[in-house]
Amino acid sequence: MADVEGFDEFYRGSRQRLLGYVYVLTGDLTEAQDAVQEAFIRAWQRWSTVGGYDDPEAWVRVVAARIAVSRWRSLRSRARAYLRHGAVDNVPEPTTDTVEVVAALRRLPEEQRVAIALYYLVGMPVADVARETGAPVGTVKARLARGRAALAGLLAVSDLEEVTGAA
Amino acid sequence: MRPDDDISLVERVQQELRAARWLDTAEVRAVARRRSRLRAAAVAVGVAVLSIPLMAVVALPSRQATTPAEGGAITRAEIPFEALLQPEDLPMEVDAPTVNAGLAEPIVINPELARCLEAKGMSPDWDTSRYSRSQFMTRPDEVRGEDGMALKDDLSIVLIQDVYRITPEMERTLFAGIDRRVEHCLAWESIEIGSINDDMTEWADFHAMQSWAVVDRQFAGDESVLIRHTVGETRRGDANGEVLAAPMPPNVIAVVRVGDLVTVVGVESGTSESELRRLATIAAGRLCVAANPAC
Repeated sequence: MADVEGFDEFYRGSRQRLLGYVYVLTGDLTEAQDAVQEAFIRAWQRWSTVGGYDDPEAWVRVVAARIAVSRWRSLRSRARAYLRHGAVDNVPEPTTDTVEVVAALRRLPEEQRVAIALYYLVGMPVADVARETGAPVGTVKARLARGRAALAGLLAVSDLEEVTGAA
Repeated sequence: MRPDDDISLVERVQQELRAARWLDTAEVRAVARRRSRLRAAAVAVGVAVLSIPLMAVVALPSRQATTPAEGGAITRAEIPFEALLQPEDLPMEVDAPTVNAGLAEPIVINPELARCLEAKGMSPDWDTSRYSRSQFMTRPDEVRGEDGMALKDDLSIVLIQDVYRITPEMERTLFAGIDRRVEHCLAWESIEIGSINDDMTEWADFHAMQSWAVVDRQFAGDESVLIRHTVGETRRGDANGEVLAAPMPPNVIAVVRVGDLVTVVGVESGTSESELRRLATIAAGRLCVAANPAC
């Protein structure tokens, strides 16, 4: 018998965190949500294995990120655009905050986006970010510092501190 | 602790996330069950009707070692920017390229092809490069496409290029491996979940027939192939099979080798094969500045 309760608890407890991570990677909330939802479906298909991992969230995170960032232009995006063709007025306008955040994130190099996403949205310590991304701790700190500096300029946030003590 | 300014960033992102609506847990499990049944049925049909040989599962080449073969003197390792396509090579205005470098990266011909192979029970098992440099170029924000399909806030990528430095052994086997992978994905029905609308109130399985084919070869460099990826209508995965999107314009990918450098060039969907051949030929010329042996 599959561990239904275990999966449900995992799904409810981790989905927002994973969504934040993929959103920061992609800068597109709808795409991010599709990717995370798809990753959870694949997780349940393999739950007898994935549920036994020490950190099943890491598996879903990798799968969701792969789904989200590997798309040239996804079937789903195209389908949504196709369905609303001629009905653009129904699409809610993004808020100013959304435009700023999305634009800022998209200007970051991928390795900085990943570091920012894992550190700030998933809440990983620098050492864990380093392990997950296969980069030395010093490199992760540098990526975080550069990413924060870039976001500060783009989001008009001032007086940033260095991340050197973040680990 | 995160500095206050970073909390502000996190809060802004979290604010956006509050709009998210999720499938119920029971729905997630139901979709997964339905998928598993469909996949089992598809495998049964494949064996009975298409007679896919079981040996196909193990026919892909194994991952190659990343060290040069014995006696293969490597004189140039780094892949300089000059070896990549330049903005002026493209027929439209583009922003400055975004460039990354990598070590021991897999030579990914097409991520969707990897999904197809995995769905058919095979590992894509991409060959591993020694060094790589990748770039993508986007249209300037104010010059977005007018194909009617682009999302208004979509990142409008017009070119993706990866350049890999490979081992002498891989020079001999890479293109045969590409042919074998493509042959396994002449027809594949992809299924993935997505929200039908932007407020995420309605979800559906999106079904589409995808296929890959080598449509040209030996048009540039020492070796080259042009791969055409087509995606048919996207349909809702229910009994009615409502059409959710028209077939996509074919997507073409060029793979070119010059000496020990291989480049994979992808262009935005709908770009003509002749235009990609033109770009691939320019790309081959630019690889010469860094290839071993020099050309």
